[in-house]
Amino acid sequence: MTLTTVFRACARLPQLRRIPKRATTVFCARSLSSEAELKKTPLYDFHNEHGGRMVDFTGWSMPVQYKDGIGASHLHTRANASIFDVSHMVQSRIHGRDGVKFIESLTVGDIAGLRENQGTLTLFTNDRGGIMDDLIVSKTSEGFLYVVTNAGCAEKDIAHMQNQCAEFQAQRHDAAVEVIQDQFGLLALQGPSAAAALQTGVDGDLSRITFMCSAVLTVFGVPGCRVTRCGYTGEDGFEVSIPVDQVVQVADSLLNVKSTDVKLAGLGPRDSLRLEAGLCLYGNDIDEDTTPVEATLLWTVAKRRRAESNFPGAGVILQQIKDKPSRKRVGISSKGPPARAGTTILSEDGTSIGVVTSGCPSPSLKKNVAMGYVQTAFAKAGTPLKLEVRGKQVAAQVSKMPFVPANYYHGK
Amino acid sequence: MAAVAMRCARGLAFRATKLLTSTQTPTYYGAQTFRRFSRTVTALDSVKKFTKDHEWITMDGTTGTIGITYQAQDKLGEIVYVELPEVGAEMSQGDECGAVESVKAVGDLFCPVSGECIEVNTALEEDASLINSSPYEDGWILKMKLSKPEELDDLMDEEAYQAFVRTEDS
Repeated sequence: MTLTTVFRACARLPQLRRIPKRATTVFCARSLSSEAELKKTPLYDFHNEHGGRMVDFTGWSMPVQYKDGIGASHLHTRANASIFDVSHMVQSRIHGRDGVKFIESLTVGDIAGLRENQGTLTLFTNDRGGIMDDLIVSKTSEGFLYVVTNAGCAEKDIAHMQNQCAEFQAQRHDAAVEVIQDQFGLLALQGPSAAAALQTGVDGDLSRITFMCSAVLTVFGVPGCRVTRCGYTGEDGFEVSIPVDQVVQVADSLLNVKSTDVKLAGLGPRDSLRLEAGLCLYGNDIDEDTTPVEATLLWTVAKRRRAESNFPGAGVILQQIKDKPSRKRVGISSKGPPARAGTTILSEDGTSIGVVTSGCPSPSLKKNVAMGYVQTAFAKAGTPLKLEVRGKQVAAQVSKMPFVPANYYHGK
Repeated sequence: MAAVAMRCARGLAFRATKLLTSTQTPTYYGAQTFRRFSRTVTALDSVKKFTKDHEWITMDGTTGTIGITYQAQDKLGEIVYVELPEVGAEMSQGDECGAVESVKAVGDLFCPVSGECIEVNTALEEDASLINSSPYEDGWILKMKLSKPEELDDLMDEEAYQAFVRTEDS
């Protein structure tokens, strides 16, 4: 038996059937870094002390799971609360009077229309209308925009923002990009008990912070923590940006909250949770060759922005809205052998009509869930499909997403 | 006791006879002989051989029982699905003959030896996690009738496998 881990970060890799030499989980086959060369988050020692099984994730040493295992950790997040270390993601600030105009020049969202301390999911697009990365932009009350982008696209995104900003400045605009990843760690606290757990360490009333909004708070005695009510699991939760020397203190405090049962969780359950929630993984479900229209992320392209047609690839995207795309991202459910990324999707008569981009057994639903692209004619919910897994055809059907209902907090 | 020892020894009956004609206390010596032979025979029956792909095989005559090792199930995590081979299928050493899946990983199964698949563990269709809780007993995966028993010589014994695992992990 050889071991193939199918969780991939950003690069689209062929499905590995044999792993030479190492039988351990492999996240990015191209990475040949030894443990010593991998980057470490502020919680590296903390993960090891708590029994984290560390793996290479886009050049970072990250925990894929802890002793409980991925299924148990996944279920615990849906029932209680888990902490995910996401310090490897890139946190930045956009300064300047024209900061909003600058970030809008790279993205498809209505950033100008955000209320103070409100954030939104948006997309960097390229000239072909493809997606360069998905990111969260928050308009803070401190005068800058707070931006979080994917770890797997770090080099690409930072270069993109800095190069475009230099051009923007050359046109006599006032904007600057500051990458703050070295100054702050990032923890995601997710689950129905997340608010109760975090509240024990915060003076202000967290119920006033609704989905996608943020505030700067003192958390378990650590001042200057940006708390954003968002996440990647479909549950209520918070991403907490903490000064780098105090990340361990906050994580430890959360684990020790007596009234709730908060546990550490790794990248393994992070992936199964987001898939159940119908959330895209950049590099798998969306990439430079998929447009927001094909990816059914049209809601991110704000009405005003469509009217103004002032984002990279606007021409292609607007044309696709008119003509309808030839393929669409859909949810797929099945039983039997799970279909992983790269699995061919067939119509009932056996014609190849698409490909799976993410898939795994669903710990919550006891069936298999997946996302993939199919020809638009087959994209309706309930359409029967076949998945080609190891030479056998497995029955499946198009399903609405999210597979598990979302529990975002929109206020009382 | 001696008769039992002789039956258990099978091809080693001549040794039983020799030991029991010793001048030492018959009962003690007989018991020791019995234990030695039964231990030897038991060890032969359950001698596990291992592949570099982390499968194990134990033999009962020409029938081999095959599963995956403790290390393999540990790396996979909680197993949620097992693709079992077809009963009656003729397979060669190294052929892909199934798969073991967890939430995050897929482990392909490769035939440690050539032969015909004569039985599969259908209990795994109800509870795939038997492989985690009992990788060498209840979590067995398939039984094969070997066509080339000499292929067993290509495989590692327990000591060699443990050493192999240690080098893989380093």
